[in-house]
Amino acid sequence: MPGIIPFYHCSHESLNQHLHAGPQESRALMAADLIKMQLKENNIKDLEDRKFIRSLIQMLSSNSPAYKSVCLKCVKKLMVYPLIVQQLLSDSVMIPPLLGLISYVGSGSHLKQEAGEILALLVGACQHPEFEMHQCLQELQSEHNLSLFMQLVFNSDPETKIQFLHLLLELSSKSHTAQNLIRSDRDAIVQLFAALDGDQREVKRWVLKLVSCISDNHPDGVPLPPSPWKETAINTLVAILTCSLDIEERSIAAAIIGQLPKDDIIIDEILKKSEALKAIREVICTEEEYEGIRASANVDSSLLENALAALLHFTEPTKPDLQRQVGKLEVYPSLVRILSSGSSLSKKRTAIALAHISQSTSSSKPEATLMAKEPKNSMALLHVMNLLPSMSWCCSTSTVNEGLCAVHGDACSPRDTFCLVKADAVKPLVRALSETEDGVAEAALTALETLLTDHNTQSHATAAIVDNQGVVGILQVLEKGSLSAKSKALDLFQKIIEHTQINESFFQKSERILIQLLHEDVLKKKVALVLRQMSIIPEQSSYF
Amino acid sequence: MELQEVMVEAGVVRRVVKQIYRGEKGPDAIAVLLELSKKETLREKIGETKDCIPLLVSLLHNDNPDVSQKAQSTLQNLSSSTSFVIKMAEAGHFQPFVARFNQGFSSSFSLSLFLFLKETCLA
Repeated sequence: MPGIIPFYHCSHESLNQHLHAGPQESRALMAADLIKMQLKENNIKDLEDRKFIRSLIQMLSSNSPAYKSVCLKCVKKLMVYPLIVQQLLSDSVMIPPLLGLISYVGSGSHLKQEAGEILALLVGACQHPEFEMHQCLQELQSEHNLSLFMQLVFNSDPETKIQFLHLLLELSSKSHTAQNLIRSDRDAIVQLFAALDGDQREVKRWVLKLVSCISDNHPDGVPLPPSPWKETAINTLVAILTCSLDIEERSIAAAIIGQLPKDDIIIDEILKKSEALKAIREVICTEEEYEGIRASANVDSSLLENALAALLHFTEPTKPDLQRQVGKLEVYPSLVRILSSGSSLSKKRTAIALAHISQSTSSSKPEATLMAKEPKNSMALLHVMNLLPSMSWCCSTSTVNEGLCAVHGDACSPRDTFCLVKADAVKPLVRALSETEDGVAEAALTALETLLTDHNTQSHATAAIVDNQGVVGILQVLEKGSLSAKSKALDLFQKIIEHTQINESFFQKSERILIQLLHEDVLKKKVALVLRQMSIIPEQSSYF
Repeated sequence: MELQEVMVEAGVVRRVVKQIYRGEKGPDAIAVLLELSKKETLREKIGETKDCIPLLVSLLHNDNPDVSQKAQSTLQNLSSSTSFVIKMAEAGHFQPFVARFNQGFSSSFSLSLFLFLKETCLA
């Protein structure tokens, strides 16, 4: 490396060079030493100097690839420290030379790789709203630069591919502009999915991550290539989910399947004929419930969460064929178990899946007249059934143990009919109401609401919710939940007090919480209606 | 040869460093190092002396403000050499390193350059 080889190993020419050395050479020497030094937190305050960072970055303008390499290594070493990262982000001088290095044809792949890595680390260090605030980063999300990074993904050695996939991943997770530009690059999408068939394992994993990221939280879901690549892409994703030995790969493939467009018949047909649902079942079932799959007890939690996301594609109320497939796989006991033992995200997705299935079966059930006519007898029957756990599954394959449902009577007896009450899902759903993680309580409320769609059985359904300590859970949501969850909880609470007498202590507690809720402008009217129903405020209140 | 140069050639710096390490001498010993470091021609010898720079860096946090002040001034004098500021940084004192880096050009010989000259000239 010119300029930083110890001079006692140099010739007279190199000595002469050093005697006439400029600032770059001296800096390169010092930067090379800095790379080897052990740094402590208290040293960083000195290195956080704006002028120092600028002097370091100036080395990227040198003609010597060796100096550039030293500079990049030094910057990378310093980027371990958040204060330095903030300094780099606050100064606009960093990005242009890095972009210049990446775009210059004459730069070696190693330099491009390091420059890409630094950019990825910089973008990764920003939180979502921060990204838009850093002017220096905006240039990275231009169409030209995204296309440049994408070209390096497709036309480089595996190591460089990975660095630029990482950079694109960071950009698309922080910027909607970048996400949309990558999604709209049709050639890039075709090539990304083609890369999933390649044999470079690490590259494949990063491509999966990028595809998942550009699909995440986007209303159109996964940006698929046009046919016939589309069919190949879906089959590849299913093959990864069903056959890969790598848990992370399977997990991301499941996440992507969960984000496939919901309104595409071709996708549904491919999924229906595939082994995807069986693979999802393998993940979500426990050993006891699914003999032969021993690995499931140790399943990575994100694999389970993503398998549940993929399951949601099959449980969509608009897809009766796929829902029937779910019903046949006897996956409900496992779902109810996840409601009690899974992560918050798993609980949320499970509650949504159960809401989907319950919603479909509720709307297709014949009128449940038995319960409407004989409520008292039915409740007694429910208690008897609780003593006989083997009778508790509407969808059990057991041919003998099919009892009557306490809410729907014989309406949910057919094997392919799902019912939250008979699936013992009411209690875990009520427990999920106390989850504080975003969306869990709301999903559980949505599922519980499906019990109340039939007016004829509403009183039994509310009784079932109350019997499972539902009032406590609902009051918790009304007290601490999100605004949308509170709104759902109010609807449910209103139906409960319409059909059921709640005890005095709950009545007083609910009165206090509801009066506090009168301060929420969005909920004010709804709360007032409930309070009027409870005879707490008069008919002619100013709240109406 | 001046008296100070004779002293340095005789190994006074190493002796002072050892005495400070052993806790035998305090501010007076540092004062000797500071005085010697004021002479540009002696700085290379001082900075090269084993353990001298790490010792001076450690004395920056000495409870005695006179000692820490003298250590600071001695280091300041030695920071005209790139290789010495690197040594200071290796010992955890980065300010001279950063100042030198920002300045960019090394006007004095670095340690490696000095060694090169020593080897070639003596050969």
